[in-house]
Amino acid sequence: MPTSGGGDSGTRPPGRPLEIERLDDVRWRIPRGQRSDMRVDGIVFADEALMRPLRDDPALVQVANVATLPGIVGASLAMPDVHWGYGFPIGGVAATRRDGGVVSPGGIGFDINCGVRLLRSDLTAAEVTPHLEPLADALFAAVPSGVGAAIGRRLPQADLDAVLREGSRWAVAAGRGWREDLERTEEGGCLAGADPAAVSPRAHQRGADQLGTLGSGNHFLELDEVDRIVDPAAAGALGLFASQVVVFIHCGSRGLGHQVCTDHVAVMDRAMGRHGIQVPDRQLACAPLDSAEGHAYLAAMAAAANFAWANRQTIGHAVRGAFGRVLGRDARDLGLDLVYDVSHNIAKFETHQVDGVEAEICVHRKGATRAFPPGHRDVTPAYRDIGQPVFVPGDMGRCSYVAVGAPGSMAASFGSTCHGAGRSLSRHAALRELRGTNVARQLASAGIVVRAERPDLLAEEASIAYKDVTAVVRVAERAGLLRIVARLRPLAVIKG
Amino acid sequence: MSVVASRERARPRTGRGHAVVPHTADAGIRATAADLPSLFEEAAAALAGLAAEVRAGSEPTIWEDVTLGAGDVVALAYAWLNELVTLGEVHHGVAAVTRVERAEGPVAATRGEPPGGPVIGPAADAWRLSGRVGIVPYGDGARPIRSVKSATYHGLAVERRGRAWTMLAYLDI
Repeated sequence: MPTSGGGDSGTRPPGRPLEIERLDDVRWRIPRGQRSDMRVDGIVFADEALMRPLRDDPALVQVANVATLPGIVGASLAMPDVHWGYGFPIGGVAATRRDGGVVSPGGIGFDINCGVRLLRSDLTAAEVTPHLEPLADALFAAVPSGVGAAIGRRLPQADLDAVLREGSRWAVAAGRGWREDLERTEEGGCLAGADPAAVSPRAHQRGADQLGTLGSGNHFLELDEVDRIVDPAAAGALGLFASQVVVFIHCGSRGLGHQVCTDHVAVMDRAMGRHGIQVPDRQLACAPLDSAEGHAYLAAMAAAANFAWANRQTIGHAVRGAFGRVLGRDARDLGLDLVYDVSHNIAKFETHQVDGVEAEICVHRKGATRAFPPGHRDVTPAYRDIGQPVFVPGDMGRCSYVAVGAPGSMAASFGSTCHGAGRSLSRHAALRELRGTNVARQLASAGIVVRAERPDLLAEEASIAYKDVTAVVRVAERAGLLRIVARLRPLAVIKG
Repeated sequence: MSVVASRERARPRTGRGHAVVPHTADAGIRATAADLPSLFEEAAAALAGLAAEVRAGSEPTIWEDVTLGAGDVVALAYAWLNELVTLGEVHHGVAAVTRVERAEGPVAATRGEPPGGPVIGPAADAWRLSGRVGIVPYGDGARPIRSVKSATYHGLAVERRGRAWTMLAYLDI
């Protein structure tokens, strides 16, 4: 009878330090012999400075653990923002064969289709700065945020089922956005194969009054200024220019997605024995892709992913409305177009080269962004010449990046790259480090307006809790995973 | 089949306690108690403390009966903690008070198992929990601190060490 979630589950550094080989300036290998059950190597994208604190971090044990999943191909991958997660590391990528491979809900995470949406505008920071305070107030009022944020009424079941089937398409059809938004959303804002019936009543119950809400934790809504253009051609294609005001929206599938993961981890935990599967950490619970449990999870995951896209679409609509009210102009007149919407917690069937042969595989991205290169058929036509847009939010005090996928990503990382800065301090440690510090005032002194449900807890998300995002994206660029397009500087932050 | 740790109400709090365990992205809780029902109550208190502040003297206004089954004690802990997360969220509050009437399972191998994890996944609901969960709604004596998305299996452990039971759990925040 198990009394623990797994032996060497990665909650502590292993008794024997992991052997890590340096491959080049930005890649390290965890050889498959580190655990007898590793099926592939682990590959970590990091430079010396990013690797130093990782050496004693449970995240690397988790990279090795993921390498034990049945049917995994290539390598268990860790992006430059990798940090300790649960089961999978955050910043982890794993691809499994369709035939004989598994799907692991932990490889997607509890917040299914957590992702980032970026809206552009025709406005400059100089034009917006006089309106920044009322704009922050309007956004804070328009987008429910914080723990248990709800819209105050429950979606009728028929509407919720339609959201789960159709994602952003439902939201646009309901008047929550513009038709062209769909072309600028990964998968068109609707992942195929969704089945509302695979989503439990509990999950329906958790999500029914949460569509259009931000949530809490590391989720945010942020006004930024484009403070540096690195690639003018790509920036032009994305509609970005220097000094421009843009809006980041970071959130996911809320309680509905959390419950889907919770439910299906339990189901797969029970089913693993029947499928003859052993994993070193029960949070890696998985089932064959071609099994009843695998099919049920993929159908529920797609439904939750669609909820997340409809959620960000609805929030984006609320943002456009808030801008219009404060600035007294129509959102179209303000040029509040969607640049793109990316998912960084999802599994998808994609075609990649595996051992020199083109194969359809299931790519799990948990805290990792798809970064298909220019010319890839799955990149939306508007951006096919520059590659898939990639958004890498940093922390609320420093900067963020807009990038595009680079050709090297296909061979190196199944077309994946980083999704953020990556945490370096626990919430507990951040609060301790910043005890007595008024983070909101500190940000205000740097010209950054903050609205938060719990200003006293802003320290949990303060800059010191995160790695330097610039170091992270530079490693990703040197590794050939992305190409930096522009750097953004925060003007106003809305936190749950 | 003999059982462990089924107890009636009014357990003394002697030897009980809980603490927050740091985790880079999220947070963990560690709970200790003299018996299994008390341990599950203590873990619930730890979870509630992480999720919300409850004003002294506030009483739950919503009570839910809970009955859970799982194949092993770790799965029972996963089910219990997630039940609390879900009940709190659907009632827009925090599961601040719990009364675990029964938490029991096979005596064998509650400790000393090889640490290899679930070689064979649990098949039957050999472990059972029943009790009541009291929810204090937000704005009605409770104030949220942080959202707990889910309890995870990662590092989840329920062990009997000497005369004490301990639980370690990591939560996705």
